Amino acid sequence: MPIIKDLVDEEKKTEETIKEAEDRAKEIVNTAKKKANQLIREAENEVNVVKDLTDRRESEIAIKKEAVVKAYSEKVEEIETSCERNFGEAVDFILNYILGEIA
Amino acid sequence: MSIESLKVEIRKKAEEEAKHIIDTANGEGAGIINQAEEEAKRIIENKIKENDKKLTEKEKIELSLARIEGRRKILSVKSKYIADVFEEVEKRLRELPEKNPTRYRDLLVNYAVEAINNLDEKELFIKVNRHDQKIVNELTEKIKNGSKKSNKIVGLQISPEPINANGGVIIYTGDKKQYYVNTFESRLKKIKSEDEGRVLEILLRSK
Repeated sequence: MPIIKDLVDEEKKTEETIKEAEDRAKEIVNTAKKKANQLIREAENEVNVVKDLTDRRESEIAIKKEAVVKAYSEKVEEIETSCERNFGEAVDFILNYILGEIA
Repeated sequence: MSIESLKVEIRKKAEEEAKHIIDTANGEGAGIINQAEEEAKRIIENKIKENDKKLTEKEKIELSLARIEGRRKILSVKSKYIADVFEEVEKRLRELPEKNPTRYRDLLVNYAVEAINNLDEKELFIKVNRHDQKIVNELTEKIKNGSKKSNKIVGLQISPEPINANGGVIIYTGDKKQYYVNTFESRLKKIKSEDEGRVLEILLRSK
């Protein structure tokens, strides 16, 4: 019966080969799952991309804010200049109303 | 088929099956990683979107606060100048009786005549500040003559009670039911409530 024994041995080798392949397959999938988890963790903990964008936007906001402040400061200066120039005229207008003519 | 051929065939089948198992695992692994990469991409995109939303809100708030502060400064400057103008007017009015007594006497007459013409009674009383009491005593006839021009003949008595005003008169009827307040303060108050906008307009006028 040496023929049957040979075939049985061969069959055992086959099972081993398939078992090894299955183990390797499990390892491949597990490695992939680990890598996938790592990718998601990294994404969740990613701060640099957001930080860079935040820094850029905050700098833009600061520039816009400065422009608004500057515009209002210029307007205030303009008003002050105008008020200084017309101060006497405004006083005379009220005096004229109260006294009937410019005092 | 010989035993050797059979063994080769069995080995070949086993290797094929093993290869198929590994190929399937590789495909599954690649799918898992691909899916994770997509998920990671989505997480980062969401973070960026959320952060962008926060920054847009921050921008709105900061610019809005800057505008509010700017408008507050403008209002403050305008209010300051209006207050300064009225203060200067009050100062000049206080100085007027001393600096230009003739003009001030004429003014008292005009104020009194205007007040008389606005009251229906013929017997009237006049009240002035302590400083003007002596002056108005000398001006009574002039005031009566002034009102005569408007066909109004009145009796006018000076109240010994002084008023608290920098200048001007209060005329009232004997029964004290009608008053006409014509003082610097009343005129200032009126112009403040009715014409402050006009004063501001003058102040802001360009060249």
